[in-house]
Amino acid sequence: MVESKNGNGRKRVDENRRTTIKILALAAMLSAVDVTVMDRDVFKSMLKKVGLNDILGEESKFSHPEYGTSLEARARRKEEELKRLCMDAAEIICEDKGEGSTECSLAREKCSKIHVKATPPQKGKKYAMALDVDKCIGCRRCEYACVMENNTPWNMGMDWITVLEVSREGVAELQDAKKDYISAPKPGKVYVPVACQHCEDPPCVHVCPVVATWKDEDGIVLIDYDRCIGCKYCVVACPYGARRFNLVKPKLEPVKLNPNMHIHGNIIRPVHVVEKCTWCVQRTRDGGVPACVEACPVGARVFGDLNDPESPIRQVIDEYGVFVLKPETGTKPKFFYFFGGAQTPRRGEEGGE
Amino acid sequence: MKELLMLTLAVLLLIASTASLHIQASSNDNGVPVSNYVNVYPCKTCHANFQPSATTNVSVYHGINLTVGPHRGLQCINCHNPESGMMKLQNGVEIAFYGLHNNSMVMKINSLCGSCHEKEYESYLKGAHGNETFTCAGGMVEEVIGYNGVTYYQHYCPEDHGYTPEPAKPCIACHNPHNPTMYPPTTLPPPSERPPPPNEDYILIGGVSVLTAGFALIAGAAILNKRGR
Repeated sequence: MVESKNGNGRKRVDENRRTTIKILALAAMLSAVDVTVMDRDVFKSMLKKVGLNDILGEESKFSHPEYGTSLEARARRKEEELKRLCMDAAEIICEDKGEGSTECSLAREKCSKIHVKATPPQKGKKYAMALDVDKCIGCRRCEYACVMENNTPWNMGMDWITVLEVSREGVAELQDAKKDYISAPKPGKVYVPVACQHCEDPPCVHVCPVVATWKDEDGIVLIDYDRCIGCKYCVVACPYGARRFNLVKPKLEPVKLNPNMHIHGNIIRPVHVVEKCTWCVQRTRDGGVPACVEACPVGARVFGDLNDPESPIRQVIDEYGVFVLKPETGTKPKFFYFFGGAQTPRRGEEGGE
Repeated sequence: MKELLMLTLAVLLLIASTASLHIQASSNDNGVPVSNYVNVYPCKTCHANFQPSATTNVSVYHGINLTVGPHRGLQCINCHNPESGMMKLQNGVEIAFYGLHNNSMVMKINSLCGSCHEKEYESYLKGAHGNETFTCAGGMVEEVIGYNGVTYYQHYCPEDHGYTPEPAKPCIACHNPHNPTMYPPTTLPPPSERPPPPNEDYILIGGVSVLTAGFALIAGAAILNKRGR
């Protein structure tokens, strides 16, 4: 205390502080360099193609027990509520267009057809999807089919699939990808539709504080819309930007409604919950294929059961080898991309050769 | 001259009306109504006594030119059977047109394509090439006009259980057999009614102006501070 009044003493203290700060700053810089610089060989080993044995060996740690009578009862309650809401909307249409109009009868018919399922996962199935980047032309028909199948509102950009335009040459950086292209396919570009990757080790499931999202036995990552509190942790955690948040109350349009619904899938979502691609759980759990697979005009998408040796997905993995997006995150996605070889001719190019 | 024209028109109209009587309305497997148009279309009047030369490379018939495209170099009889007057294919199936005939009839042609394109045919049967869909007992497919007027085919199943997947479209639905390259269809805009994202130039200008204003504020504060002392 005495020294602090002295001029020399204050200077010494300042110097000490300064050197401490300098050392700390140097240490911080060194540690930052240490984190950002990665061994190139390690990085390359991460980017290798995924083989069939790697995929089949992956096991998920997550499961969700709630299927059965309680969920079935919840689905029945939801069905009644939706039918009532739908009928209200249909009455408005009937008042507008007249009692005898086709819209009126169509809306009433659709409302009566609403069926909310609570199908549990089939034992021994493990779904996966693959997409041929050579065939994809970026026409966005899968997005439109997805919107129609899953009763997605159009007003807030809630479409679950995003098609990215990436340069074919060099390193494909997702940051440089273009989302709002107008004309496609262009020469020298590839089109990469990105939706939920249904990871084996999903970060979104790790961060959910209320266990509202989980990975099911058949490999589909689902959300319980009644449990979700809308904290958006999972939206931030997802490395692929696949999750969407319902900011406004979705519109119920009886004429365009898809009445085949699953309680964890394409049921009309309440406001302020998170939603994402479910691989059309209302179709696939009953043996069908997702809507995007059916709508693709060039047949770029392949969907199947990984455990079935005769399934198309196994054939694709065997024949071409597949890669995944952002392998360095360690999420082990079940959405694969591959280069099939036969290219759809780009617009403006001479085709047929 | 005018009278002759009118007469021809009348005759044509008469033929058309009688022909339409013979068209039996039926529906193909997708529930889309089609007519058995080929029964009244006079293919067989010419093809009954049709004797093409087996070495004809450039075919002038029906505007088909086999010197261009991926199938260039093929002869007509590589796929068509000359003994049937070209009305049958080499796998014994009668010619059928996609959209005019029942889907099951057109599907029979697929094995002819598969005789050369074995790998693609195998993939197709497994559902890894081209579209795959599913059917269900008592189900149907309905066309819905969706966002931006884009049609969507919704499946209706009475039970919503037990779907069976199957290849949806025959080969010739997408690939013209005489020039099989598939050209890309139109590109649709993103399915969202959101306002477009702001112009990148504006973002740059805004950022620069905010930075300038910030620096001006700092400089002003420093000067004022000095003056205040």
